Amino acid sequence: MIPYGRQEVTQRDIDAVVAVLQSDFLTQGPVVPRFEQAVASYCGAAHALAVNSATSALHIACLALGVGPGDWLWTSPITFLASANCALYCGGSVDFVDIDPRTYNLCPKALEEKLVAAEKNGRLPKVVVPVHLSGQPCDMRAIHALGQRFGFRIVEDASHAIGGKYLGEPVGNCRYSDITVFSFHPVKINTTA
Amino acid sequence: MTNSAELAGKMALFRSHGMTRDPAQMTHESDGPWYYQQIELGYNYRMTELQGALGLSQMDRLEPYVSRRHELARRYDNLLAVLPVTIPWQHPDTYSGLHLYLIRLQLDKTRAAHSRVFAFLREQGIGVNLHYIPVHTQPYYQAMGFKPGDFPEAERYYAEAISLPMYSGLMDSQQDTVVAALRRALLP
Repeated sequence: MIPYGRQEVTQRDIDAVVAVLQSDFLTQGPVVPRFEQAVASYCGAAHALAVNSATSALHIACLALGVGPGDWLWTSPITFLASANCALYCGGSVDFVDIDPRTYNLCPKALEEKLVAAEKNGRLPKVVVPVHLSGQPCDMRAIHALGQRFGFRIVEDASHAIGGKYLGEPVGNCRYSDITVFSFHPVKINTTA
Repeated sequence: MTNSAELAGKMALFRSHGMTRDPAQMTHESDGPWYYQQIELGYNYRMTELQGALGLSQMDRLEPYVSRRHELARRYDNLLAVLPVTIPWQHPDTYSGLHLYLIRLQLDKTRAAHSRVFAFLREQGIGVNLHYIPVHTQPYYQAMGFKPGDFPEAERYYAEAISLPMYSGLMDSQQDTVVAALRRALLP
């Protein structure tokens, strides 16, 4: 069977994990902060916080942005369940924005039309979650400009996109977003298991 | 990732029970060196040191991994050019992380049905997948009032899409096997 995705684990990776097993800390030690620092400096972001899954990261991102009952989160329908469920965990509500037919990412034109309608109904979203499907970044400049105009916050779901670039800069630098989430699931580009 | 110290501080609390050992965040002076306070309702979402060690070790190879994925994508693009499929268009502003290589079947140019092509590839030992089922069509979301037809572009994508194998360890010869199987599925 040729799988659709698979991790690559080298002897150096194994040695690094075994070294931790033989160290004083299996949790809450010095290695997670080093990993966070490595990802932050790679991306050029001020802060990185490692958690046990991208689902958890989306959840705490919504909590930090104050999503709660009565708040709307909008995302793409072509994504994994967690990109939408994160708002429901916080008691918020979810709606979707249709995709662009060429990139399959959340379509900024459809977003703008929906925002104009939502403004009239007083149902503007608190948070929009653009998902970089397959690793290709969304049209972040356009989405960010809409965020400025309509007053929503942006969480990039970059679960597919570590190592990718937008306008020549690393995904994860949060130039056009409040928070960016990566995934290190074993089928992803690199992994934490 | 964030550039906001305020959001980073909140997320640090939420990932670990809403607990703090920082005297500046406490409601009153610390009782002593053992002391912590819960100031939010948080969760146990911490990453373990074992996971951190693997992630840290792998970060050095991120760029070669993504480069290899781009090589494989270019090979797919060329090999698939003669088949009735749409290869993944890349916006010029972007350099993809290429977690997935997504094709869409041009169903007006083949007699093969989407579900049959998918099943055939699986029978041939190709672990294709479909990313993703439109979330609004899930029963849990339909119970909230969403229905098929709400997001037609997403639903059209779902009716045609297949994720082909894409990972840094995929060999050219395996990729040729994938393309040969896809050719048999589409041009019987």
